[in-house]
Amino acid sequence: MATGPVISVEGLVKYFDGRCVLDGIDLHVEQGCVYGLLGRNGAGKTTMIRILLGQDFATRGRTRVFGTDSAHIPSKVLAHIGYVAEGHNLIQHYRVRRLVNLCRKLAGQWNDTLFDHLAKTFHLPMDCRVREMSIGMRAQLNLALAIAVDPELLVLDDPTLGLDTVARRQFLELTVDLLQRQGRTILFSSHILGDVERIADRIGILRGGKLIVDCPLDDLKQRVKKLRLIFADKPPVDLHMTDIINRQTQGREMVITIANMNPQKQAIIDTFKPSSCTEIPMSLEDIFIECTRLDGQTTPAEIEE
Amino acid sequence: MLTLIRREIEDNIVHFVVAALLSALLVFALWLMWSEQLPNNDPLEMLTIFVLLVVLVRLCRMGQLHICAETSRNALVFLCTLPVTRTQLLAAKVITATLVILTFGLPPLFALRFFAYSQPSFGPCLGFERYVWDLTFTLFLLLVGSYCSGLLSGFNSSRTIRAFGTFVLPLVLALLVLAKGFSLQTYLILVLFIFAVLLHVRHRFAAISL
Repeated sequence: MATGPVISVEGLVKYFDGRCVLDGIDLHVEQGCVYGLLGRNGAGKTTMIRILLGQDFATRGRTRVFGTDSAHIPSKVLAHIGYVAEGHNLIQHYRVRRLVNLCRKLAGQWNDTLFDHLAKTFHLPMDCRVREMSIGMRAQLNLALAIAVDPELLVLDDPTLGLDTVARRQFLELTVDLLQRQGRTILFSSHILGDVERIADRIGILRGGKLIVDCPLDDLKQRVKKLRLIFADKPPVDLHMTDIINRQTQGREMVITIANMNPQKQAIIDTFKPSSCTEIPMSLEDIFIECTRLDGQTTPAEIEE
Repeated sequence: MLTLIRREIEDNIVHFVVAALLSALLVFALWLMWSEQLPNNDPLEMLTIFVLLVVLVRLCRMGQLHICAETSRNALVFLCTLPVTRTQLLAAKVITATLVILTFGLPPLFALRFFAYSQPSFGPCLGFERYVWDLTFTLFLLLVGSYCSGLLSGFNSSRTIRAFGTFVLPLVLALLVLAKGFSLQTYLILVLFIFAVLLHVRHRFAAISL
């Protein structure tokens, strides 16, 4: 494997029928990183993942996996990648056993013990046809197949979609287990932010085709602050500050969400002499909601390291 | 690669069975012809032409299914997540189609030689050998060409155009052979057609957005 970032995206642009889906994405994921890719429906997460894995093609820009151009990933590089696609596209008319055998034979490396363990944990019906399985079972089968190849890079596109709470917890435990093996990289896209918060150490948020957030999770929580300001009189109309993600005013109270919070911004707020300034704790979900509000509401700033 | 070919053979087992059955029918027809059990061979010749047309159409349909069924069923999306390239996937399909063609074509050709040489009045001659080779080569190219035309029309999303292509494209190829006969020109046209189509299909197959 080539040295350098496992995933490298430079100036990625993708148009679908004249509509810009990805607009100049730059992203680098280093080895051993668990990257949580977030975004609302249609934000471009799946498109980006598909382009990364050579299933779709970029309009402009360059994407590389293990240093190889995504459009021409050779099979020996693919052998190090495990992928769980959104919707779990398996070969529907195959029986599970046949599908597993096919994957085992085609895979560069295959961990039989691990797969058997997963099959037992998930109670996979080996003689059942894939199309006869529930969405949840298909998701579990897809996960088991992706993890059994002992991948150096695991790409999970909304992997817990369709899983019940117990299966989701099992999946997270498996992912953590995989993480404990040195050097494993995971690119993880999900709508269940609690899951992402539990395992991701770096977060990217896509909004309107742009990567508006790309920083470590702890950093994100440090940088995005929600403040409740109470003024003696009416709150000021303009705080003369950039990076205000959201702002709500009611009477003497103003609630603002600020990206890239720093002492300078705090000093600007202090110049308006609020009678009180309290911080409202934010979970990843709160930050995500603030960052991905629809156009016309407020404009989120780009949050980067 | 062998795993992929094996997978294709298992997925196309129906085509192999049909090819073997039609081949057996042709062998039977040849046996009837050479043993002169019927007063006139016209029905058998008609049967041979009919079987050939059926095989041409089926191969064209097989080519279409190799492209459109795999992409519409999302099987290709899954396969592309495994350590195989699209070129390998396509190559496995073409090899499997070639095996179907051989399953259909080889037994009648062996039978033709066997029946001919088992006749007491029939001595080996250069003309007959040449005829058998020309027949073998032309039929093989015609059947591969028909499969390739199926691959080509398989990219079309319109069912009507695909159905139209299933009957028209093999017929055009068959008429070309009928018009030109067994000649170097025919071979050249068919080889060029197959080569160009495979190159084009490989390019398009590699560029499909899944």
